[in-house]
Order: sequence, then structure tokens, then C-alpha cells
Amino acid sequence: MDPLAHEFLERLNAAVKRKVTVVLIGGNALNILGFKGATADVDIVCRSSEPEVAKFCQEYFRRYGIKVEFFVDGLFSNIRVKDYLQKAYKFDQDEFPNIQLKIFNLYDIALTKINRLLQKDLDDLTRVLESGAITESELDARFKFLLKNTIGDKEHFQQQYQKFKTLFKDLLRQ
Amino acid sequence: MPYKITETPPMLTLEEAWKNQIRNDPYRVVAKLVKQGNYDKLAKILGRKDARQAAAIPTILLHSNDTLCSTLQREMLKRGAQAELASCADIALRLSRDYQDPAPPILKTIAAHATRPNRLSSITYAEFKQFYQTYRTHGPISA
Repeated sequence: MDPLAHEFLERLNAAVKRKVTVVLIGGNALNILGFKGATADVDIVCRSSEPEVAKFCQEYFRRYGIKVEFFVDGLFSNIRVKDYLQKAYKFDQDEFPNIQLKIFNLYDIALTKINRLLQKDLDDLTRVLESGAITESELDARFKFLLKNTIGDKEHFQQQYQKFKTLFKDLLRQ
Repeated sequence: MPYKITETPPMLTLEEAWKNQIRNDPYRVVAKLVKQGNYDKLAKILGRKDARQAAAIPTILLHSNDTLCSTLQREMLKRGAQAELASCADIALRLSRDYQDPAPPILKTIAAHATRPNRLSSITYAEFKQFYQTYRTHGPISA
């Protein structure tokens, strides 16, 4: 886990008055899952029913100058991972007793990266696909589910997915 | 091995994730722990015997040639290069060319630079040059 993410969780744990849920996404999630050694971002998903987490993220930037990217209820720029909490992996830890830490599902990590496809996303996707951890059929099924629930630009998501399939056709067929 | 969406893949513990991070991007972890003065944790992560030994790490990075420090220096160099320049060889070559110096002092300079707590952001070649000039004038700068 990145030191910044660790520090963020430490401070959040000390600041909240009740147990809150935090889902790690992006590079830190891939780090916990063993796919990525180093990452520099802190990205999380939090719940609208626990507004203190989002508020803390906003204050965090003002107080410490570190931007924590947060997404509420699984709503990303143009896709919504409606069942993100059910699909996220439970992560047992006792270092942050006020935080129920979860890790974003690997298929959802892949699809949010596919939706963006920056160079760092391509690097991460290569690592995940090379490991053979995800299957094309499961990914297709999850893509269809997310597309159906997308509230934003469906066409963009579809185009990105096609682009991904073309770029990674060799790895997907392995 | 492929995992279904409903299956949970193996996950690292927080401790293992730290170790993974230090293997791949050690300067951020070392810098954070030095900044916090958390030498017990640093000692644990680096496999050092006690906090006193770990507290000496920023100095060790400047003066020691032991394997751990060499690895850290190499990794730090890679990290710096990754952030700003095409390759670590490029930094070493350019600095060597500019100052007609061999590589080891350059590595030490970069290590010193990278472990400075307020130097977490990416480093440019111009900054390296400036820092190296200070190093040459005043000797090693402790982190």
C-alpha cells in the first residue's frame, strides 16, 4: 500500500466517530491484490450514507495538500458500478478499527481502467491479463452488466471496450 | 489461475503490501517513515535489528555499500528516472558528462535527494544538477 494511502487511512480512522466503509480502488487495490508494486494515487469509493468520509476527503486536501479521489456509491465519471459493495472483496485488518476496508473487485478495476485507457491503465491491464487472473467471458458479462446500468455516455464506454479488445486480443486469447 | 467475479483472489496483508511497495518504490516508504520518525517500523520493514540501526539509514544511504543500500539506491535512481527522464542510465551519463565524475557519487547524491522528506515529488534533471553542485561544494547532505 502506498504511504499516502496508509496515512490517509490512519487519519480517517482517528477522525471518524463510527465504523465506516472504504473501498480501495485503482493502484492501491491492485497493490493489495499483488498485481502492482508501487502506486502514487489514493482513490476510494465511499457511501453516501456515510457522508463524513467524503467530507474528510475534501478536508484532507485542504489540510494536507494531498488529493484523495473519491467516488460516492460506485458512481464514476460515466459509469456506475451499482453493486460495487457486494462485489468488493472483504479485507481483514486490525490496524484501522474504525474502517471496514474493502478492495474493489478485480473485474471492476479492469473495467474502470478500460473506460479510461490512459497509459498507466494499459500498463495495469497488461499486468492483470498476463497473470491470467481474469477471463474474457467473465469480463464480457460484467461489461454488459455495467453498460446496462450506465447513466452516462454508453457509447464512449462501448468504444473503449472495443478498443481494449483490439489492443489486448493476444492476451485475451491465452 | 483465472478467478470468477464471485471468487476472491489471494490478497496481501497490509504488512506485505508495505514490503511490496518498498521493493518497487522504496524511496517513498523510506521518506515517509523517516519523516514520521517511525524507525521501529522502518527497522521491521528493512529487516534491520533495531530502531537505532534504521535511524542511521539516511546516513547509510550516503556512505555504505552494503547490499540493501545498493538496492535502495538503485531503486531510487530508477524511480527518479521513471518520473522525469527516459532512463536512469541517462541521468548517470548526463551527470557524468557534465561533471566528469564516476557514477558512485551520483548514486549517493540521488539517494540523499530522494530521502529528503520534503522531496517526495518528481525530480527534474535541473534539480539533480543543482543538488549535485551543492553536494560537490559542501559534501554529503544528511537527510
